[in-house]
Amino acid sequence: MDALMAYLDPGSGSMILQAILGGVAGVVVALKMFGRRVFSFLTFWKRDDAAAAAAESKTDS
Amino acid sequence: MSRAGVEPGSFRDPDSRVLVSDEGVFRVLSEAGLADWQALAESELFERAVADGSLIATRPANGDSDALRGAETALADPPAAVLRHDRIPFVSYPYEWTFGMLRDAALLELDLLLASLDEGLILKDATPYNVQFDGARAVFIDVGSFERLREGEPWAGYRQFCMQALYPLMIQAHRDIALQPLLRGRLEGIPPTEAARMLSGRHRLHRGVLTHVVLHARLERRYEKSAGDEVRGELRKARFGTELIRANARRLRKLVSRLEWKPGASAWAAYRTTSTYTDDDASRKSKFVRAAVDRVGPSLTWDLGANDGVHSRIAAESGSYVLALDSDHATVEALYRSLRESGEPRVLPMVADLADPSPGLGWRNAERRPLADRGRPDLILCLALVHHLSIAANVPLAEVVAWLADLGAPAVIEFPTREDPMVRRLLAAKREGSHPDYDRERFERLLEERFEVVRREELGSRTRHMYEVGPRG
Repeated sequence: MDALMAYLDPGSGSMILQAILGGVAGVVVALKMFGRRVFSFLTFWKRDDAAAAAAESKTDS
Repeated sequence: MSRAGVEPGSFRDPDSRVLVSDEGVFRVLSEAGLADWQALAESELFERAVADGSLIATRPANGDSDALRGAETALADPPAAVLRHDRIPFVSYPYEWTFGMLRDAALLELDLLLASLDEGLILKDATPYNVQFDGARAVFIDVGSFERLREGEPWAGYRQFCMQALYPLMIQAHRDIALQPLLRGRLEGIPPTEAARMLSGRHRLHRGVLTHVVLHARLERRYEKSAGDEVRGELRKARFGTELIRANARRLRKLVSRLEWKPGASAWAAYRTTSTYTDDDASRKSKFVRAAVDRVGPSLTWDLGANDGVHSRIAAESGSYVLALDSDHATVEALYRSLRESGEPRVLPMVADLADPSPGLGWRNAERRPLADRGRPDLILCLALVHHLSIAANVPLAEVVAWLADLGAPAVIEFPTREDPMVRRLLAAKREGSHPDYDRERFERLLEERFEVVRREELGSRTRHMYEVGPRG
């Protein structure tokens, strides 16, 4: 499918805005998307904390 | 027979490219482009839009025409098909249009987008360069822009629509900042972040600014590093549907159609009513123009400094297609609206400052061509213009005459003397004794060097002189 992708870069922010602007259905799409984003954002932080803690314990030893 | 040249403004879409020759305008399609064209050609939308003139008439071209030899190398792969388009009499660009023209072009794109969604198609881009004007009528010319709809994907053209149509229109409507220099300055249009800066403070209260401009700019910054295919995938998973594209397009249409530009007090918009012409002068001038039009029988007339278009209409009545050029946006807007109302089909109004005309722009300065490279006039009308170029724009009189002669066509030229009230007003802005070259005897000498003078007439007020001239040799 991606071989047929548009020659024009639609812009990530512009695509997300279209979901938000789409009214009721759009809000559902946006919530799902943002839900996923928020989720990955949190997991990202957790991973980051763990990595930092690992780094700290290394310098301690 | 000339070989068809690849139109330098059409290379961005890899599935569709335009070739232009004396024989006509052709479009070369890739395999994917051909499948999209077949889907369009079978649609009701195609038949309807070609019939009502909103889409350029297009049919498969005769494949063995000499003019199509250039087609073989026009795309990366061998072409799958070649189409032939009807020709637009004269190409114009969005940075030469008025607010109303850009708005009508934008509405046409949204209407075609909505109609295509109903038939499983979509527009792959949204640049106003896909629209041309035939007279004062907007025509969508990029048949290659229609493609088969891919369910679950947002409209790829939305950002481009904002940058090249919605933002310039909003900035002109809400801030009275001229849209032409903005579009001429950057062919890609105005990015959301910059539009957000131009529409700051109370201007954000206008309908649509907070969402299409401010939120758009924020999301763009926020997701700057997000990969497009990931976002597209997430939207698909979240069941982004064609209904959303349709709802957004409808709302955009409403927003654009409500945008209004009220020009400030323009020096020119009231020109005809406050001008220094007497009725007698005006009617003698029109008569003089009509006689020249009848003698020359032009198919393309350039009316330089067209003002309210009274002389453009005289040329159009005789069957000529006319470019009505004027530097004042408000004046050209008024002309565009009156042409739309009267249904005059042969006058193309354009915003053009002849002392600073459209240059070659884009890749290799060839994507968008200078005015004089897009077609030459058979007749030039240059009325009430010489003094503006010579005095207000400081172009030496000899240069003005040389420029007119280089256009290579018969011309009707008006010369107001130093005693003319308008000339006195222009001279009053300058230092005492400036522009000594602005003088009738000198002008006639210059004219006779470069042209054959066919006819001359002094108007009743005795400060305005008319000349009908033809190229020498």
